[in-house]
Amino acid sequence: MTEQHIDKVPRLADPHLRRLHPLTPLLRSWGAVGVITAAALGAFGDDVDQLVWVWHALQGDADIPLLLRAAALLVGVAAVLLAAGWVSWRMTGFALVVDRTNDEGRDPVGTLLYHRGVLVRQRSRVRLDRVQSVDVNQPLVPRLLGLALVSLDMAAGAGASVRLAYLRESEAWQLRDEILRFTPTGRSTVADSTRPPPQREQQLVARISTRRLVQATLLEGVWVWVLLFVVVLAGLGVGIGFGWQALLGSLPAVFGVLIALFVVLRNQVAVMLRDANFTLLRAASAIRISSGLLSTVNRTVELDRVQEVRIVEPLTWRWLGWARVEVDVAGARSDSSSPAASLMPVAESGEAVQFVDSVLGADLADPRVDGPGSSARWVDPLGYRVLGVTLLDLGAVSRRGRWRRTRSFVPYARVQSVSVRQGWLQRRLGLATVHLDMPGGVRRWTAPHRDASEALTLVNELVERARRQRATPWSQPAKDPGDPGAEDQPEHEATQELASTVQGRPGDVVQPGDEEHDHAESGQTDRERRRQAQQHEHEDHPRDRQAWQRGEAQQ
Amino acid sequence: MNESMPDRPARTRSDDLFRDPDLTWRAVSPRLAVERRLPVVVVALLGLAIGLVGLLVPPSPWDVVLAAIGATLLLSSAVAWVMVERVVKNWRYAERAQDLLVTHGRLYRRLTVIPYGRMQVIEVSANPVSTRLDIATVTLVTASASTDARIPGLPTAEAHALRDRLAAKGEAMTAGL
Repeated sequence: MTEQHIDKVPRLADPHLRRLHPLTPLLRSWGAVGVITAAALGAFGDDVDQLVWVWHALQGDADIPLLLRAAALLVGVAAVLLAAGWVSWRMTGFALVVDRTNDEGRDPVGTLLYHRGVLVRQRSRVRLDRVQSVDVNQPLVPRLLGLALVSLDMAAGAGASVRLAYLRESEAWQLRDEILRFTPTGRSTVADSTRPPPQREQQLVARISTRRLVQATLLEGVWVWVLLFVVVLAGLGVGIGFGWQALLGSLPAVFGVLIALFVVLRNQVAVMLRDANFTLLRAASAIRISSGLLSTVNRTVELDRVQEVRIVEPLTWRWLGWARVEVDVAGARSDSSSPAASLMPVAESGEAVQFVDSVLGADLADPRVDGPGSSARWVDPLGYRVLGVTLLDLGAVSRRGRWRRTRSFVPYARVQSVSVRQGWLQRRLGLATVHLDMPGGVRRWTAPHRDASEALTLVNELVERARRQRATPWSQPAKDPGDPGAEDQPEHEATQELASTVQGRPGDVVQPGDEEHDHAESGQTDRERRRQAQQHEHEDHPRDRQAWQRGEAQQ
Repeated sequence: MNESMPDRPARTRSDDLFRDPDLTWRAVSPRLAVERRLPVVVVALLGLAIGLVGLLVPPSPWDVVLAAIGATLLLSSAVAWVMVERVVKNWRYAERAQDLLVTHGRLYRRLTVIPYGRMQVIEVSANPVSTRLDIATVTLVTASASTDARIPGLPTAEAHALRDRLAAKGEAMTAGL
């Protein structure tokens, strides 16, 4: 990064705030449309017949005063909302500035200022060197107007993200590139500004055809259609056998099934809409995914933050040799409401394996699997043949699932703790289940029904490998370009200067102090503690990155 | 790339899985049983009261119901009374060079291994009852929400000593990363 580039960016002292696109208030107030409708209905109040009557009125049979009243009300509400939107737009601004107050030979720290709010004024300062990913997203309506939003994810997790909505599309991409220059990952790719911005440095890995996606999605949910067929057939049977009155009588029973079917179908459509036009780009240390039929979503998966990769093969896909690659990334976007982010919605099984191998250095092809205990068949008669564990160089693989075969890979470097559990039945059969606890979520890696005599060995082996992966001084230069001096700092210091201090949202402000050890009897809530703990986890990711790089180097 | 699993050792007893005989396991204080039995006693008294009311009211369909409820409560608290003993006996921990082991549970056994370097918060907590009994709970928090590592019923002095020890080790290991 040269001085010239830096000098073009204004200093922190005099931020010149840029505005969002003027259409923003209109687009943001989709909710307001609902409010208007509700208000109108409320105004016409007691009998909705009048609305029908308005319809008649429009066809010539007019009661002018009433129509005027309705129109005036609508216009009035719209005007108020527009005015409010406009004021809010005027008060919203952002700026990219460079804080050079304390750069003793370090790279300057970029900061994003984001001011907003009319009644409650919020001024956020986002330290860009703590930003984990910058994405450009296009929901449907803004997309039609050529607008986009830039969203920044911070290490702190799902709650801490900034969405700049909306900007002109070109402007959004430009802003993204600008921000990327200051983020840890961006910096390593654009170390000197003579090289082109990172966006063009990416390499196309895969593009998944929409036809294949539709086939795969329908096939995965094929049982739904079978069920529907059965229901219709049963309905016909009842109708013919017992008369159509009986069919009417059994409708309530069918109703539940139909609702379930509807939900599943809706999910299928949602998946198809989400994953259509799926394009996968490979950047230096991240995968960039662009997908969506109506709304275009760009996601960035930082490889060093990946904490679990799964290759999933539903029964029907196995017949065709297809598979899906799912990924869990530490921290941001791990809300349980949305289905697991797929790294590849559908691919040939071999391709999927090869892909995981090339990006993460984990060969899941046909791992030499160590099976479960011999008596596992009594606990899991259908699936026990599938169960198995493999310990690779970089992580552990667990295979399970009779119908929906899943190979799950977790890197040792991210393992938080190891546990064994044994239920009463397992105890009788001499079995035990081994778990690995991963950062953040509640999802844990599971190796079910291991032979009890061998389980302890497995546990100790996992503990030992996790320890080694964390502690090995890597052969590569230890200094991470994005996190200068991270190697020298004890971990709790890193926490103090953590990421974004979003004002007006006390929950996001990291409390300074020695989080490590002094929380005994302090009044913090459990949630806060977990949150800090998770932030802590993200702090040490530069080392884990080394782990991944080592893995890639072996390829 | 693949590495095979290490050779299986000679078959060991299932107990050894959760309580490696080579380690020194420390038990929690028996006073924990007192704390845990307090709610059991409350429930038992409640059951007794309900049962007595059932016996005292004039004969009606209700007295059977009340007696049944009272008997159920009494019986279940008797079971809980016995269980508490076993749970407390089985709650143990051991410190190894690199990690802490916590095991508990009788019917459903659990063993958790937490590397010192992964501990992020070590908390000592006590409720009014345990304060009076001079015992405390040590809770270990890692970055994972699913880590289940709690040692209840440590004598307060031991709890604080353990916390300090763990904190020191955690600091050393984390710094050495």
